[in-house]
Amino acid sequence: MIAKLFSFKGGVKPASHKDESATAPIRVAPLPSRLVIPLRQSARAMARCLVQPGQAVLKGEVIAAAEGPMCTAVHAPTSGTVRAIEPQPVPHPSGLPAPSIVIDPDGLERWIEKQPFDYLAASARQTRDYLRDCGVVGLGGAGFPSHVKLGPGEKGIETLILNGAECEPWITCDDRLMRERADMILAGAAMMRHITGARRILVGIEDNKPQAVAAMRDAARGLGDSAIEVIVVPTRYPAGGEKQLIRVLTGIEIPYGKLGTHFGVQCFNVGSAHAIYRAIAHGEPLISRVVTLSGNMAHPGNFEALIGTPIRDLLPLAEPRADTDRYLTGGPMMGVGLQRLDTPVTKGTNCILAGSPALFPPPPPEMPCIRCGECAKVCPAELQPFELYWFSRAKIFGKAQEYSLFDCIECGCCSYVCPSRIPLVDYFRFAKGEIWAREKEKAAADLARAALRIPPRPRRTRESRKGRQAGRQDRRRTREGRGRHRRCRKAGDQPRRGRQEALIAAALERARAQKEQAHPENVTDLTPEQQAEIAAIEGRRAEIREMAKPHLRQDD
Amino acid sequence: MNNSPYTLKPASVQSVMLRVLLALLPGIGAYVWFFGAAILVQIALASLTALAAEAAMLALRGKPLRPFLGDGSALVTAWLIVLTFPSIAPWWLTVLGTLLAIVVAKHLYGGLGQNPFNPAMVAFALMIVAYPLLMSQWPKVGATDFAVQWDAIFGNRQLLDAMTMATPLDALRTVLRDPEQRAMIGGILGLRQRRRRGWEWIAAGYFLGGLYLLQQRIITWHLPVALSRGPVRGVGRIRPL
Repeated sequence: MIAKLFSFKGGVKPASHKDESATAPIRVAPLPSRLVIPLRQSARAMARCLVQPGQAVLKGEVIAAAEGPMCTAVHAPTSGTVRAIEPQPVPHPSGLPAPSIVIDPDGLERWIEKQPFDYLAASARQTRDYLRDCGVVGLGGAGFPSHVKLGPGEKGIETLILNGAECEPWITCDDRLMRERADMILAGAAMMRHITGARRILVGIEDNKPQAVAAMRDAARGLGDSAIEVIVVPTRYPAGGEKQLIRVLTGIEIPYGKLGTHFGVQCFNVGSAHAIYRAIAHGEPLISRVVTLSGNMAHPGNFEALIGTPIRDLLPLAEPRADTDRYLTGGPMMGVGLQRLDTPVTKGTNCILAGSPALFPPPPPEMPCIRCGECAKVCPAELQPFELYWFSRAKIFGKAQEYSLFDCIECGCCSYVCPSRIPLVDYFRFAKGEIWAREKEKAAADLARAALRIPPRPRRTRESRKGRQAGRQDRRRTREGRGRHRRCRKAGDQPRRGRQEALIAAALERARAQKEQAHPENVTDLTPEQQAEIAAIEGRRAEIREMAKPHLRQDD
Repeated sequence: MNNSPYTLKPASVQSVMLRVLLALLPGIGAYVWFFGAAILVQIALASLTALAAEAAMLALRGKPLRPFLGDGSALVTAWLIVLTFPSIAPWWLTVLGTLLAIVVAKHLYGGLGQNPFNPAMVAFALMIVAYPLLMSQWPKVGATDFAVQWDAIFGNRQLLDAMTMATPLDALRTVLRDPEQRAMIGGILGLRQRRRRGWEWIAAGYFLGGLYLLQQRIITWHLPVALSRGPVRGVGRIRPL
């Protein structure tokens, strides 16, 4: 069966460096002397600790429970004793410590009683809850909870996509997993299909992994399942991006603010399918993952490491060379520099790269933009990075948002090709961070205002209301005229009138955001008391402003 | 510590500019063949002026000299000025044009990448307004006597034995204004045929350079297509005559 392939715009072809680590089979990493399991799973999810210091735990035992819809359970990766529950360094760009459970392994690897889950008898909901309690999250890097993604979403899931593209250079953990455990991956995929009621499964693999393709095709043939298709996609970074892979395999272009499920498509990493298989067929929660160790190392390879293994303990397995000056988690295009080596392997750690000045040389000095347009040519989100760059740099965040800043997936293609060596993605991260911070501030101010219970405006008389409405309508008409050409694409299929209203609202929002940009200098690093005081003052100010409004209105 | 991506394509402003210069070489070669070595003298003049002006402006603006002087953009400006100016223009015309391009059109607008107009084209426009006569004295094809050209550039312009003046298109335009002279157009077109020899080869050289830039993906097909559609339409308008 030959599927018609589609293509995404842009993309780059960096040197793949896959051979270094892809040749050797996956090895099991030895048990470390200490395991650190962070409780925080994302900005919105933190598991609730269920154990006490000194408590003995078994391998696979639940040590923290899922709290909230975006959270999954946390398990002891091996048997041993809980030493402490305390803040520990975690692999996060901020480098700040986060609450974690520290376990001293006893070396016995005593399992809990493993019980396969009868997913055929259970409802989809029950299976999803089971996966949540098994701690299954996406292993592609973002760590999104699988039980959420397996939900029916907007209109059910028709097509299940397994992402085996692995487009980042150097990383080969999915490649090795597909070569060695193809049947388990596809068994997991079949389970996912059962849960979601999907009709077909498409496995997308980049054409630089012929062995993985062969293994997966063999496994698919072994299953005798015609609804599973293994499709070879051209090697072009970022073909493994979710939206990019969906587009290549199905031709569906997912617009901003929509998810795959809006179009009946859902995408999972092959490692996640493997984890789901292990959880359901063997009753094993997600306590380990395959990690690629590569880069400036004497013996690069893939290692199955327990979640919580300090990276420092893992490194000797691949023997970093003497001139190694830094380590990254993830690949060179989107990876994050490790600030400390005592941070643990988490469920999203797919790769640890050793860097040297020769391998990842420091970037040459930034030159001015010469408007060559290279960045726009390679942007897979079809943005205009040079425009976003001007706006981010000048802190005109409203404009940056208008140019779809939040469509940027931070893949790094623009920075990669820029002849002026401008770290474009850094500018975009900065702009996004600033916008988020401002939105947070605004929400906090709104809360403070609500808490102060500002009295409602005096009731209007019928006459005053009529006059004002007429004026407002006039104003709206001119605004509509102005806003019409712009941003029609974004608003999509909303009815015209609603769309125009949305446009006006967006414009007002932008105007307000820009007004808010004029900030006094000394408002960072305030104590909570100071912040509360400021909020109170702002609240009073708003009150006065609110009271003054009717008088102002009469004049205009 | 920098952030991702950690690996970068080996590209730089310098390599872009150097490839643009390389793309100009076939055209320059044809120029030398048909019009003599005067153009090389002009290139040397303009290049030196451009680099000196660039260095001075960078120093004035407190910018680092090395990365900006080495980026090659000043040389591209200098070469484009030379190729748009007559090759026998007096030395001070080239120097003045280059100075205007680098100082005014480039650095007063903010330097590399900040110029709203191409500096070389700004220089051309300014000079053709300021010195229309000198800017329209072109050498005759085959008049390659280097000594005469050297004199034209650095001293006595009376020694020139032949020069062409306004371009055929300009003559055509003038003639078209007068209905009585329209009958003479056939003669003018015949004149054009004789005069175009040499220029065609230079244009072919530029074309070759353009193909190279396309192959190097420094430009895309959109650029030449968008630029050439305009003139083609213009020609279409006078064809019915």
